[in-house]
Amino acid sequence: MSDFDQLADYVFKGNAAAVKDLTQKMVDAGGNPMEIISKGLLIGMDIVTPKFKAGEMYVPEVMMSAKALSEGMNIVKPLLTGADIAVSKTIIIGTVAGDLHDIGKNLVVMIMESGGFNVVDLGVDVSPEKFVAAIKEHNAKIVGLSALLTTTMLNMKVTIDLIKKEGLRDEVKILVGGAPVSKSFADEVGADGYCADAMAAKEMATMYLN
Amino acid sequence: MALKSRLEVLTKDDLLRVHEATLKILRETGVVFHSEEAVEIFKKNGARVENKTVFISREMVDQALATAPRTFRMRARNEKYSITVGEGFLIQPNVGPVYIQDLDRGRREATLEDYANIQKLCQASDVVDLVGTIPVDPSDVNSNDKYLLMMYEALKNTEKPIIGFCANTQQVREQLDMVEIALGQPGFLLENHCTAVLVNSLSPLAYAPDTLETMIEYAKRNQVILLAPCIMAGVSGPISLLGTAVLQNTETIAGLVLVQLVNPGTPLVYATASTSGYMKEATYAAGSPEAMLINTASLQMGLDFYHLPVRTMSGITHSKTVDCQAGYETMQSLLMGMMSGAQMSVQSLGVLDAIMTTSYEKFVIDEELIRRVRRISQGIDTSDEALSVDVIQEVGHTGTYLSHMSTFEKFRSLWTPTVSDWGNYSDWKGSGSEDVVIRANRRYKQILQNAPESLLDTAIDKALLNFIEKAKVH
Repeated sequence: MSDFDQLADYVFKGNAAAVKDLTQKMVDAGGNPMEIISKGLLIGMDIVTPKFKAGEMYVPEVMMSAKALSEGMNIVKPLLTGADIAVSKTIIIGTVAGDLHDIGKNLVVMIMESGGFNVVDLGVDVSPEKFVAAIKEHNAKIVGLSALLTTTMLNMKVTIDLIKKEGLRDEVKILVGGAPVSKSFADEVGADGYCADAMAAKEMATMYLN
Repeated sequence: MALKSRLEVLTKDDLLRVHEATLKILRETGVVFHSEEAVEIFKKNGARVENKTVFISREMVDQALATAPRTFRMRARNEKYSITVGEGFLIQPNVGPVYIQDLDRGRREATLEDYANIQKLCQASDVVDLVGTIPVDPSDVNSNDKYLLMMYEALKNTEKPIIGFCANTQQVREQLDMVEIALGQPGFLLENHCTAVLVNSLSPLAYAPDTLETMIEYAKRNQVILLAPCIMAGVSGPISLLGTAVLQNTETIAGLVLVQLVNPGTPLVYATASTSGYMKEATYAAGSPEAMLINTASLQMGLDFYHLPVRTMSGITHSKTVDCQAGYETMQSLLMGMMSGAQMSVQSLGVLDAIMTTSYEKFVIDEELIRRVRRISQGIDTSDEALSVDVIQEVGHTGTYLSHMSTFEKFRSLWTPTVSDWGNYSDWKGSGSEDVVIRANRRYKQILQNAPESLLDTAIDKALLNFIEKAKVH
């Protein structure tokens, strides 16, 4: 097994310590950072994704893989040159104002990061103003809004309205998700897409960026 | 007549272990209260506070348990519907579904009309004891006015003890004011428990702002708090079922302490609504046998250790349609809930899809499941007369019990179904081979057709509408 294959396998198995050691070893041996990511780390997640979709892997296993992946990324990322980092792959995400629930949102963050996205997580109870400021600051192309409560999901509309008012609506694609959220609700509040789960969010974000 | 045993998963020693574990967590890790008012109340009463984290001592817990009532009376607008909470197996409407479903139109986002319809079904039902709350969340009304409009529909179409909504202080005051207007007696609430509210902790170990505003306002007005952590084992709680029961207990006791500090003696129902996680999706598993096992442990704590009135979430399913899975998961959950000693149950009236949907047909079917479960809870008559020695000897070897006087006198008390079909095959075939869902569809429409236009008298109706118009303005 090549180092790349071994690295991918460690990610797939969620072995964070082994991913960290092997990534460091490959870097020390002069390996190309971009290749370590694309031929090793992300390949591991590429094994995970279909297995998760098929119901063979469960969420805690996916999260272990994502954690292992980020151990490797932490070592390699600082070595990337500016040209390597695709600025357009930045995603702003947060739970909307008034809502403190973040299990689903955090899951999306991990899955997005494991897909190579640069995720700016604004946390919970995020005001529309904070979303707008973050879009400007990070030049993001994708915004993810999360809500669990029927009482707070309407703040998705408030947030989207402010993004419009600030003239940023055409700059970003807005994805929404959360237990009470539906496709028709997403249309109603003027979002670009409804994501039923974290994998759907990753796929939709990927689609919009390509 | 009553069952001679309860479903239990903990020993007496275990109850003490869970309590001690709870005290340790409350003392050392504390609970986060996202409300300045709540934090101030704790501070004023001597709790150690760091930022928003409140550390609760054994003494504070003991004090709260000493003032919380074991049973209490809940007054209905029509006195014949008043209830005692802390005995029996009371049924309240569902809380939280956003979709409504029926055979004719399928699954769709619920409207205010659906909300009113469910209230009518609850009022007409002989198994539903409380009304109001959010059995379906209306999608067609402005969110700022939603609470006013839901409360109006609940008051208009029902006269049983009512459940309000978790909201901010202003909205809570308005809903309680509306209940008082409907009762026609200003200040009546302070002396009588007429309104309850369901609140959930923000697991793990926290309470959100609206939740706290609701709890504090209800306590100030002497109204009932149904405190139910909704923890998912392995997601928002430990993967160990006992661990999740400990977390559930800890969050409930923290909330109990706050409520008793605000207004000692405020009725609080120790409500349990946790489930195991569904690990393929990190959501909760509504149809799992393990869900109720967690709550069984918690119910033991509430009933046997703390002597509080207890409620559970039973009658839930993950099925998307009224099929075989919906039937067995619902019954599994409901029966375990009753057998675990729950004195009240929620999500027992037509929920589907892990409480995302309320089905009109399943509402009617679940009413029958509740009748079945209540019958089981009664056990059997064990009197000397029930031994029936004289009857057995009279009938002897060749007679029939069918024509015996003892049968004639009692046979109508045998349980019979209200929507299930027990007839013979040819009759069933002859009348169109109907599925139970089709009969339930006819039944719910009939009930709605027969529902009264309004249960409010004209003057009160007018006063409520005036109140709503004023409340909408600010």
